[in-house]
Amino acid sequence: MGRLTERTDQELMLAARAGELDALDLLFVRHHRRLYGFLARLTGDRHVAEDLVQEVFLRLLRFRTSYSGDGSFVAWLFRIARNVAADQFARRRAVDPIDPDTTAVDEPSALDRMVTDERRERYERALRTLPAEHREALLLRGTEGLPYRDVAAALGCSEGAARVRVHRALVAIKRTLHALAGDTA
Amino acid sequence: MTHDPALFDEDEATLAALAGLSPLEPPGDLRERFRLRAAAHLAAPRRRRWWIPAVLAALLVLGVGAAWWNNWQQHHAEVTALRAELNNALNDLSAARRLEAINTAGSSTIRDDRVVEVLTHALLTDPNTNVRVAAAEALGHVANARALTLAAERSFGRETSPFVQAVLLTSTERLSPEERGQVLVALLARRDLDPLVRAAAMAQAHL
Repeated sequence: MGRLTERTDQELMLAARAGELDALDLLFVRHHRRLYGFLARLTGDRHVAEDLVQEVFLRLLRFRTSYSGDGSFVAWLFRIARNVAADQFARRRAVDPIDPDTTAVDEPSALDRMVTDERRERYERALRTLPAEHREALLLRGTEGLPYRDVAAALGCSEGAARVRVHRALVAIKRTLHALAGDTA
Repeated sequence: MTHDPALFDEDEATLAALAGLSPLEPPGDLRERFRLRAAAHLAAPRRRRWWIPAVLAALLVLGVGAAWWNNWQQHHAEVTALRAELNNALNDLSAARRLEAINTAGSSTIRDDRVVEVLTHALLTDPNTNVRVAAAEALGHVANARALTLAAERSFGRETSPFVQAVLLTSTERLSPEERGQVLVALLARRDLDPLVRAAAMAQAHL
């Protein structure tokens, strides 16, 4: 086996499974940014996303021996991320009656500073107002650019069902974008 | 599902716009924080799952118990059927039927006190010599030492047929010397004992 940096994600995860824990650190370096973006947009909370990214990789560490090496690693990673976020939603529901689907980013001004383009800002706002089911479908397919096969694996459904979910989410976000455009007009 | 091409284009444009969203940059210390948490996780003592051996032991006990219960049920059903068959047959007027039932009980692998009782009863009371011979032989196979000793002792005190005596004598060969001695005393005390049976009993007494 070559140097760690030359290995694929699957090879790194298999190495981690075999006890080579440096491989997990490298997987963190490779994927934590996109996971962070996904989770921050999915949960609407950047602080929570920081915790969740770590939790995702801790789960990889904890359950590394159950990794089979089948299928796309990225799809598997996003599936874990989705489960971690779902657990977080459940905990928040237990203590906080506010619907997390409509919870805005906790630091809108910070986000606003990052988003310079007005169009992007509208999309960000539209995303935040969508139900989590639509949001995650759009984030996986649109923002992360996963192929439908991987979107399906991450969502735990068939490829056909994933296409339908993305399509419905697109219809929903377009409706929201129109409404937002009406608000600003 | 079919799509309107214009709608499809619009979908692609929306997806492209989503792909163009600014990447959200995580804090620079996130990797270090994860490393610390991972190290803490690895350093933490493994939570001992004490309940796993307990559950396995319980499952083992349940499995063994279920297997035992199943065997017992099966054995009980067979014993009940054999007892019923033997009781019915021994009340039958046909000696051939009684003989057949006793041979069946003698060749069975079932060891049951009630079956031994019925065979002993046949040995002591059946009017047909052949049936008593069969009972003597069957008891040699299915009765435990104590039951066989008692049955033989009682039979030798009253049995007049040298055939039955000879077969019963053979059946008692597997008894311990003490038990066999107890049985032979009862047999040799008979004044009307057939000389051949007496000789066989004497030979056994010297074993």
